[in-house]
Parts: sequence; structure tokens; C-alpha cells
Amino acid sequence: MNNEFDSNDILEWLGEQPDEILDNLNFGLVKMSRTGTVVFYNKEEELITGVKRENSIGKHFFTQVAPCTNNFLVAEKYSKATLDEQVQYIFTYVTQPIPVQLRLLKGEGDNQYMLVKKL
Amino acid sequence: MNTLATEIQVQKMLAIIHQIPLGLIETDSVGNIKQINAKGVQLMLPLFIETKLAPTNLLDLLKLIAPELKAKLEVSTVETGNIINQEHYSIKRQNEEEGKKTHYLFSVNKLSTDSFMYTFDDITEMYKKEKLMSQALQDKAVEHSKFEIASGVLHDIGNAVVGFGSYVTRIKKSIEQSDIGTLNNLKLFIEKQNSAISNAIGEAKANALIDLLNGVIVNMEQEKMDVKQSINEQLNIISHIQEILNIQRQYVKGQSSDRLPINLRSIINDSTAMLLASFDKKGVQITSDIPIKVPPIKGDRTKLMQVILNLMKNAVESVFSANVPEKSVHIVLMVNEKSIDISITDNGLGFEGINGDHFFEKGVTSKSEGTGLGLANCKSIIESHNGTIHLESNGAGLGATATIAFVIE
Repeated sequence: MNNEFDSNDILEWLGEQPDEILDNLNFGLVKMSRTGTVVFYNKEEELITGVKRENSIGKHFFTQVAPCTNNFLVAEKYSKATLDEQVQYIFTYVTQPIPVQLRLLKGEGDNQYMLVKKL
Repeated sequence: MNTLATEIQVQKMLAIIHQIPLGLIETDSVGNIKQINAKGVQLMLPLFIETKLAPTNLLDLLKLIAPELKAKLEVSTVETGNIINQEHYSIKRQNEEEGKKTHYLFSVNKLSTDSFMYTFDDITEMYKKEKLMSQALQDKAVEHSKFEIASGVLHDIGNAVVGFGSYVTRIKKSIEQSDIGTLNNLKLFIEKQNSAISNAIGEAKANALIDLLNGVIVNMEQEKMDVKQSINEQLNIISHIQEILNIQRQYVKGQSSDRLPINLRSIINDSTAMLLASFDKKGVQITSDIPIKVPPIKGDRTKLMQVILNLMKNAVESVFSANVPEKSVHIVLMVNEKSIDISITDNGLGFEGINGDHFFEKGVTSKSEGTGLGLANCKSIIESHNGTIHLESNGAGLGATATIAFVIE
């Protein structure tokens, strides 16, 4: 299966899926442009972070939507040309602190992704 | 206000808090984290992971990484307000190596019975810099006091030498006023009265008396000459010692003397004199070829001596380390039409690649314990005297020649 948090080929797979499929994934997903503007924000992500989709799409993810990730451990990693790294993290922002596992993904394509699952 | 609008407001506020470049954590009374900003996560998450604690309770973490801080919080009786203000804590890490300690600065404020605000930052780099700086200051102070001591010792030796000199001078004066004159007068008197004295004691005895007096006078004069010569030698040695002391004093003070006309011949001679013991000890033969008349150049005697001493020391060390039967250093001074050239040639280790000018760059050295500052310093001194300095070798094991050329107008 390609639609799992840990799937090897998920980057390519994500790029081919329509929003409806992405919305029903069993993990949180943020799809951003290469400069960090949120293009898509799925349902599970809304549930985990408490930030609504309407309030995130079109904004800069690291400074406006999830400034709790705007640091050396997360945001800085996206400055690399390509990226596939998992990090343990804490989401705080509008919610109580939640330990999460993040998968930071960036390929050659137009978009970069952050996959999120609660720990 | 609808929920989205409220959320936008909250988002704005939190965006500000999250961008503060300081770690911020709000906890309840038992340490459960209510809020933590981006920098806070960056600073604390690695510690949570390292200690294998769930990243939800700060007090649990502090118990392990900064127990003194936790203890302070526990005994605090503050109702609301500041409990800890800008205090430095060394963070206890797992498997941390000495010298790689992490240092955090903490402030803790009690906002209400159920709200504690922790503000913190990683000050490790700053702490290290500060340590280095205070170490440097301490080193400087030690260095300074060494100079003070050296300066004091030189001063005391100088005083002793002056005292000794004036004592020797007094001896010199006192022998000038000897009894030889009186004896001469006595001899002349006896010669004049020779006939009367001959009548009284006989001619032979009278002549013998004059001979005796003559002998005494000659002996005394000879002795006086000897003493005078040895005193003069002593006075020369004293003035030589004083000269050396003066040079050393200038080193210690680090004073640069004014640009006065100086004689390069005397600089080389003084440098050789200062290093003679070291040449001897290391079995290095030193020879020189310096014309008696060398036109003076304007310069800083102390600094130029420093250069010559440095080059000579390098030559001696190189020769000493080399496996050659006859260890030698040869110094040549040549007065040309437009320049005065000094070359110091040794038959020591030498180096590959003919041109050794890169040795004059800061930080370049061939010595295991060298700093590479000596020759760089030499170069800048020579250049400040309108001169050039070069180093050449015919190859490894074939010795080297350092050449200084001073332009004369």
C-alpha cells in the first residue's frame, strides 16, 4: 500500500491523488508549495492541530499556520533540495501540547508535505 | 464573535509568541505543559527524547536535567510573581563529555496558582565565549605579572651593576693617587744628595739604595699598569652587561624606541653575544663577515635585534637538529650602492622547494611547537624599515639562507 504514513513511495503517490483521497487519509497531511504556502490541509490534520482548513490554506505554514514548527528541528529542514525525514515533535499552537511523529517530505515536484500522526 | 474569528485572533497572538527567539513554556502547578513555543520545543524536545520522558510534563524533566532548579521551585512560597530570575543552570545530559556541557538560562514566573511561565534560552555558546574571554584576561594578567617580575628583576640587577661599576671606578681612581710619585721624589732627593750620603754610608751602599728604590718604583708601576688594565676590562664588561640589560628592559616593556640612526654591525655583534652561550652549548660554529664601517640606517634597534635574534635562533635550531658533522652558521653583511644586505646561512635542515617565503605568512611553521608568528613578525618589522626579507634553501638537508635587504637612500 502506498497510502500509509511509512510507505516508501508515498511522495510520488501523494502527488497523483485528488484532494478527496488526501482528505480521508488516516494521518494528518499538509501540502505546501515549495515556498511553504499551504495548498491543502486534510481533515485529520484539522483534528490534531485544532486549526481549521479555512484558516490555513493560502497562508505560510511555518509562520502563520504552525509557528510552533518554525525552528531548527522542522522548518529549517525544508531548506534542503529534497527531504524525507521523520522527527518526533510536539504540536502546541492552539491545542494542548500533543506529541506527534512528523514525516517531512520534499521531492523534485512543485509541492512539499508534512505528514503527522499522534504518538 | 464566531469561532473562526476567535481562532484568527488566537492565531495572531500565538504567532507572535511562537516567533519569540526564547523558549517559553506554560505549565500547570504540577508541571503539565499547557503551551510551548517553537524555540521551547527546539530546546526541550531533545532533552525529553534523551531522557525517554513523554514531552508533556516539564517538572519530570527538570528533576533529571536541572534538579537544583526543581528544588528551588518546590520550596518557593511566592503567591504570584517571579520565582527565578535569569539564573544559569548546567544541564545534566546523558553521556555528556566534559567540556561539552549545555548551559541554559532560566526565569520562572508564577502567573496564578495553576499557571507557571518558564522562559529559557541556550546560553552554551555565550558561556563558552565568556569562559574563553575570562581565561584570556587571566592569561594576560599572568603574562603581565611575569613582565612585572622580569622588569623588577632587571631593575634590581641593573642597580647592582651600577653599584658595582661605581665601586670599580673608585678603585681605579684610588690607584691613580699611588705612592709612586713620593718614591720618585725620594729617589731624586737621594740622587741629589748622593755625595753626602756616599760620605756617610759609602758609595756602594748609596748606589745600592738608589737601585733598590728604582726597582720598587718599576715594580709598582708594572703592578699599577696590570691593575689598571684589569679594571678597564671589568668596566667594559660592566658596560656590556648594562647594554644587554637595557635591551632586555626594552623587550619587557615592549616599548618601541624612536627611529634613530643605528649600526647594523653592532646589532649583529650584540645578537651574537647574546646567543653565544646557546651556540656553544649546541656545538654550532658561528662565523661572520662584516665590514668595520657600515653606514647607519634609521630604525628601531630593539625590533631589528628581535629579527636578527629570531633568524639566528632559527638557524641554530635547524643546524642543531640536522645530522651534519660541522654545524655552522655564517653571517654576512654587505654594503652595496643602494642597499645593505644581511644574510644568515646555516647548513641545517633546509626545506624542499627553493623559495621559503611562505614561512613568513602568519601561522606557517615547520616546527612542531611553533606558532608561525615569529617569522611573520620579522617580515612586518623588516618591511616597516623599508626592507625585504627572503628565505631560500637548496633543498631538504642542504641548509637555508635568510636574506634581509635594507634600502639606503
